[in-house]
Amino acid sequence: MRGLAEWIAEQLLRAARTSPLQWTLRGLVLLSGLGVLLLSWQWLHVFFGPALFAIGALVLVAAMLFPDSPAPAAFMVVVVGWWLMGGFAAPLWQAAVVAVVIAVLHQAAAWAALGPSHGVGRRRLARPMAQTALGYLMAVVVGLGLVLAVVAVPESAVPRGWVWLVITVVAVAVISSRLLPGRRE
Amino acid sequence: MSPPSSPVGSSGGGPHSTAFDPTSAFARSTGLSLLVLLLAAALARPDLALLAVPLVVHAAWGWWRRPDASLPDLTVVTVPQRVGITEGEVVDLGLHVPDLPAHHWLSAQWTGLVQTTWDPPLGAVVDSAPDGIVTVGLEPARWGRYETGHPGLQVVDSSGSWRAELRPASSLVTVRPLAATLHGASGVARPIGLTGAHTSSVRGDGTQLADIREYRTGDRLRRINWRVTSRTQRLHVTSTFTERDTDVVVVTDTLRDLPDPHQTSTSLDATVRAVAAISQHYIGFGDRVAVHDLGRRLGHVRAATGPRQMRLILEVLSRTVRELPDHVALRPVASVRSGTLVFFCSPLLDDRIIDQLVRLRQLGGEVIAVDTMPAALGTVETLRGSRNRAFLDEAWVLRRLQRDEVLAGIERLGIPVTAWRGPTSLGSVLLAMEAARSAPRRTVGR
Repeated sequence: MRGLAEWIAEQLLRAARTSPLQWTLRGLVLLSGLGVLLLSWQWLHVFFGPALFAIGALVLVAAMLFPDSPAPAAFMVVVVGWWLMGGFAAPLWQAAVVAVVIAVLHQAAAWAALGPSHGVGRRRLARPMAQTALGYLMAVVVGLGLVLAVVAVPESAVPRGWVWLVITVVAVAVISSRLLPGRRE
Repeated sequence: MSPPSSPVGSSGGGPHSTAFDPTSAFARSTGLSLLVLLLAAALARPDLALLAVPLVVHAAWGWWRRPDASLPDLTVVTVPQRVGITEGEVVDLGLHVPDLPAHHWLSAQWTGLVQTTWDPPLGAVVDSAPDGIVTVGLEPARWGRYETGHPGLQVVDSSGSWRAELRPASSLVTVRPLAATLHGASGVARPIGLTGAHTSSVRGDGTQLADIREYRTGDRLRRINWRVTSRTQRLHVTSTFTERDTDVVVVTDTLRDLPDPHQTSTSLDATVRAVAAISQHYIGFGDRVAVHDLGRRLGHVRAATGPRQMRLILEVLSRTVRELPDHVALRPVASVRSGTLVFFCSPLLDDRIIDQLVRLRQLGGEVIAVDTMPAALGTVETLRGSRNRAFLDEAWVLRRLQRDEVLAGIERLGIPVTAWRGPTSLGSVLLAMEAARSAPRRTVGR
């Protein structure tokens, strides 16, 4: 009990010392994670839906508190599991929307993990950070468009299965990396 | 902030071999993208493939940004490595990574230091650092030496996929005490030097009018006061007091460092500030100032004058060792010239110290006791709301009462005692001493 109280006190202290940059990033993690859960709840009708929502919310809080831990990955596993169970009948555009929100969560968690929770971001960091985020989201949108385009091609034109998967992955990787800043030649 | 082209110190030990490690984000995007794509392929589920896209993009991005031979070994320079500032000033501490690659940011964390204020508050900052420099401001609260310790520094890839830890060198910040300007006169009754700014009681060449008297054999002709001579029809001369400098010795008692009940300052703080202010005051008059510590926390400074002496005293004060145990051996003052102005800065608690004080007076010094005991220590106000079950506060009240008796005895011997409360502390005492220049002196101990 005492250990729990100490842990809570420590977390409260950390929260009080959290810098605006980290509040923004962790807020993005929380909001985008909640968005993913709510969209999945709305669009997917699975028997385990409430349980998945509850588990996802718990893991999401952990991901927000500890972005440098396996918690963000665990949250994505929950989401993927949810879609695995209930997403077979959902329109593909819904999965694409969820993928964009996952991109926001993933990148926000990646940046939140780069510094301590009290690490203050200098003002001149805002511009490169915004440019990088925009580039990443654009690349994700292009990648989603490619996947949707490939899926839209009739089966007679492009064979389904491993072949198209490999082609799509390579295309997404190559084209999206061209769009992102700082590529090393 | 020093320019990056002239770093004061380097990380030491030569260039670092930069080892970039993948972050948890890169591991997440790589591992999950593979897993989800396998599931998508195995189950022929394009929706899962869509969910994998952000992870695939990030994994590809991180893969393209992986550290390779094109990335130079990164070195880090702490700027500055040694710096001296005055109390109340802020110093910018920087970490400079000269070869910071494009699209890499710096995440720095300075270690915690007591009695300091950081800007940003906890000394942690994340910066895009286009010039390769990340800085924080440090404002020490008190004089002394502050070793910052090795700050933590991470070079992070802007995609959040890779990071490398560097080990910068520590910084040493020396904070000189702020030498407050004393208000009041010089207090020098009997200057013992040859030429200077204090008016002595000896008549001779000077500017301060002493008397107009009849001419005697040996008087200088330029001293003839023609106006009085023509009125009285007898030769009269103007006599003046000579102006001389004097020797000032600041004796400090650092045998104990007594904190005040609020833990905001200590007797050592008051002593250091008093020494700085007194030294500046008398060096400004052109007097020779020496510092002698009866304990071992402060260094000894020989008598000299001028701006260099002032800098030397401040340097010695800033190197005062706080962490010395109390009650170390006493180093008595060997001797003082008769007429030397002696400022005795002490909490006046130890009998050996009181003996030294009286001894200096017997040696002929013009002694002023500067009481550096914290004002709130041992006062009745501290007993209100006190929950100290060891009755420490009550003990201090009794000790202060005992001390008051001793101080009264010291004053009966003709040694003025004044509490150090800042630049105005000595004003009345110095004025009284100067006014008493011509008063008869009382001999002590005979």
